[in-house]
Amino acid sequence: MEISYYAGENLQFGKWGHVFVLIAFVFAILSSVAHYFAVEGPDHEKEGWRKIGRWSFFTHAIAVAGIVALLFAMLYNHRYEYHYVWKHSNNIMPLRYILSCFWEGQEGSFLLWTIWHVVLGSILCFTAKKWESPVMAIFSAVQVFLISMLLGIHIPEGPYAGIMIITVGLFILFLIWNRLSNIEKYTIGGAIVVIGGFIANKNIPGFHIGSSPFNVLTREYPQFADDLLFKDKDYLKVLDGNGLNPLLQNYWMTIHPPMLFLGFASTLVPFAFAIAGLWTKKLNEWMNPALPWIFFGVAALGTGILMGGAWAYEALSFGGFWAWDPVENASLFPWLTFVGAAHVMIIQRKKGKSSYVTFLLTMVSFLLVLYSTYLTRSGILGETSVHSFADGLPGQLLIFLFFFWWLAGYLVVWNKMLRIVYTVVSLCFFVIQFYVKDLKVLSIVLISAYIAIFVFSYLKYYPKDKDEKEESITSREFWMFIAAIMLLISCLQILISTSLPVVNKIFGTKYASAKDVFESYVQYQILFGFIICLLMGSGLYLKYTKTPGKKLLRDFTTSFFITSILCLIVALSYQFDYENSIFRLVIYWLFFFSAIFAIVGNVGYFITVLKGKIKSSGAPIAHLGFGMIMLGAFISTSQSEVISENTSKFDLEKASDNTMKNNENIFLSRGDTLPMGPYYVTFNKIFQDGKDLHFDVEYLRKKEDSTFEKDFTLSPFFQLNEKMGKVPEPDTKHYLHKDIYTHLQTYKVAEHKGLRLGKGDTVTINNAILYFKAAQISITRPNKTDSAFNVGAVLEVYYPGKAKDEFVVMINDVSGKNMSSPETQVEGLKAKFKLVNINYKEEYFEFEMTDYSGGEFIVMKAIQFPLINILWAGCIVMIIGTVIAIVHRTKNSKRLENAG
Amino acid sequence: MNKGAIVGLSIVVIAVVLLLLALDGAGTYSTFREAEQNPDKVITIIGTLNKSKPVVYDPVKNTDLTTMFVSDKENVEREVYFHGAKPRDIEKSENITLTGKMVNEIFHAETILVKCPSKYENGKLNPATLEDQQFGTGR
Repeated sequence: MEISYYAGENLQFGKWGHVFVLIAFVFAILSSVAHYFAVEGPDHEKEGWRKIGRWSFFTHAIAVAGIVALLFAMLYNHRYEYHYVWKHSNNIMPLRYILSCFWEGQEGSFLLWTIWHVVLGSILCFTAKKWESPVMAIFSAVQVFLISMLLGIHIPEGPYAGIMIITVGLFILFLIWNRLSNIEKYTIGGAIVVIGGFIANKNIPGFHIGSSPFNVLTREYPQFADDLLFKDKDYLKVLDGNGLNPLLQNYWMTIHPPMLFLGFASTLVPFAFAIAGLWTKKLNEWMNPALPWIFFGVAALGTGILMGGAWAYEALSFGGFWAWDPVENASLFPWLTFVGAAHVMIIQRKKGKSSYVTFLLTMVSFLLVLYSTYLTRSGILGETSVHSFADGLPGQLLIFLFFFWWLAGYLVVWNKMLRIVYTVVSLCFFVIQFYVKDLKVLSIVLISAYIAIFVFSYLKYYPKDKDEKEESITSREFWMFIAAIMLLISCLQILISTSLPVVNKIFGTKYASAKDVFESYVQYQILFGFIICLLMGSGLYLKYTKTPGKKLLRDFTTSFFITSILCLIVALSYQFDYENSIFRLVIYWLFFFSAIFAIVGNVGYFITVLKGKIKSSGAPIAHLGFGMIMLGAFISTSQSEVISENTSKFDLEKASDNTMKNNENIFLSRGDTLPMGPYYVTFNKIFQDGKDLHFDVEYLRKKEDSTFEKDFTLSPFFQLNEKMGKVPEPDTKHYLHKDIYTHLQTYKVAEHKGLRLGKGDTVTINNAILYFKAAQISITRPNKTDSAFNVGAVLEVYYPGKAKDEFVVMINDVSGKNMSSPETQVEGLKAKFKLVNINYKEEYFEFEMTDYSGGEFIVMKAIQFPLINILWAGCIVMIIGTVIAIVHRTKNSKRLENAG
Repeated sequence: MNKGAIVGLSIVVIAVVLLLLALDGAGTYSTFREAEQNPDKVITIIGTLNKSKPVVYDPVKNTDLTTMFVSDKENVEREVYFHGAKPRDIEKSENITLTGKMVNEIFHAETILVKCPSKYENGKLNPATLEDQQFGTGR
């Protein structure tokens, strides 16, 4: 066995890790290929292939479990010889954050995603029945791409990449050899050789496929070999890890990523069913098993996104729960289309026939998950996001995205000839983009070609229902369809605005996102939200196929009437803050009305139509929750108020442009009491709890007799992180109807210094000279039994050009039992002194000096968020509603399955 | 014409309109020179902080003013007044993105975005070089 030069390294973890990654990779390929043949192979072989596929997937699952276990073991044992462990954890980090370390890095988060696919895939192996093979072929193919992100294989410079493409391409060609006509065989074979040849000829510089979490610091990163630390063969005894980003040391960070990735993973299930439906030409049956999953995905992804919002609100300094940050937006795109897909699927299953739109929305949701991953992981967001990740593997992610885009498109194009055209167009694009610098023309041509192909194939070839009747305008399905399209448009708006960096990259433009989020997102989303809320409030009253007009009119008038009364009450008692823009005032009222309408409509439906029956009330409850989210989000953000206007001092001279905010922070000296909004604030107590330096800010109310009464205390703090600097974390007072959020910008506290002075010594402090004049001793008798020795240092301060100060610093020792050393404050010097020790042998006194000459203050920002609890309550209500819907749909699906 | 095609085409049209609206509302990454020529326009500038000159934030005087010197892509340096508290880690920044306008030779920034080389990793070894090495050609 190879003996390491370094002492104490355990390389076994890494070796096993690499092996498990390879096993997981190979068996994912095998599972995908075997399941493919279980669909496409000759009938008598199908069952055999299916078994191979299933067991390959299980082997893959076990290997993934092995990877996870090893990575945990490495993190738990602080094996810093591994780069991933070194980079994402350290010794002082509490063990409860080990999970956060696990998925902090890019490799870990891909692994988390992989785990969920393994879990969902394993469930499908047992529940999908006749759908197992086509669905698992897709699942395994996705796993191949995901595990490839963990491979960490180096492809050297030279023709090797091209040769690899030819090998893999020809292998796949031979697998499907018998199914092709002669022309196809030779065209495809020729294309593979030509493309591979081109790439081989291009002499691509060396690159990595994926990045392994099992890489060893001293081996895989040779540039470190020069670091002095690694000259020492005992380096592991001194090496500490880099540690976890302090912002992530939060319980939300332990639960938000798994939930979000479960949501991402669950978009794959309906995608796989949709692909399976197109592939096996069962255009309608696939919706039955997919429907419960699509609701599950809506709930999981929605919860994950909202948990991210809660994390941002509680622990980050955004000042809100949603900042329209590209990373947040990226998680929202697939959710919007997924909700749309769920609604379209309900309609279509009712009819027993699927539509083109059902396929598109279902498949687009998963493709948007891949696109989001590309956006957030490739570093392309660069300039516009506060938390885009620096490390990236853009090429690989793009291939991942384009492969499944191609696959989905290939199956949707319902004609053999057109499929070949579509594939050739895609491949040409892939090859040409290597050669041209200017992607402008190329991408316009490609997008137009795609649109033309899809529209043409839909009109000409896609099987359509001949005897489909026009949907009545009073039917529920018509308006549900409109709602789904609205969701898609809302998604498109966010998608386009967030993708400006991608537009810049392709077109060489220099667009920067608009000045504020109102202009870029809110003004549009509020209008889409208005329509969606109106549809949510009225949709359920409509019946499938046709609704009798009279009853409808009655239901609508009731809701409308109640909503109007509620709005009128609000209008009379509250004035919206609309920043003097009539446009804002109008859209605020429209949106407010629609959100109330959505709530009233669904509560009304639950009471009057369903008579409170919980079982079938998934839809109204989920809609009610969403209405509450809309209402809470709208009020808490549009009506939030910065109450920390600076009331102490303000330098007007420099505020030359009065259009800019310039008084959002308050300057508060220790001990001062200042008015702030409806409160008075003061802070006295500063204390340290572990790494956190807390400042207790007291919120006071002035009583009638001009004395102050404490209302509440908030304790925002700075995490004093040696490596990452001071990280502020806010604190929030939660009331039922509002939150007071308090965030520190900066602080200054007194400095503590030790001083050693012998008799006759001098020292300069704050431009004055401190002189140890004499030591004194006295004995007192505080009571009958005790005697106290009081030792004092007589100190003099000489100020430049001013009279001197003289003071005594004492240490008292009562009968050798109670030592006390009171603090002496010297006003002129802006310092406090304390005598802490006397060294008799070397004849000096030890003082502790607190220098407060720099002042002690905090600068903080306080924001009032009204009615934000409606938002959180809405989240819970919506999740409950969705869970009820899942249970209901699962039962329905089973019933339909048994019936059919 | 087919109903589905109408829906499809109208979505494409809406997408194009939304794209145009987004581009219309968006500013462009620009330079101080351009900001001087258009004094009333809100402009976004990517630049680098001049680390040899001080970043001044004196909350005793003004809690919402941080001044610094930034040079843009054309290496034009201007004093910048950021109307807010000093952004964390600005001294360590690699580049910064400013949004605001020019008033009397001084760029007044309303928002500021700080990009640090590897924001949370100032360990003994420099991980930045490490990432480059690892995905040097993937970009």
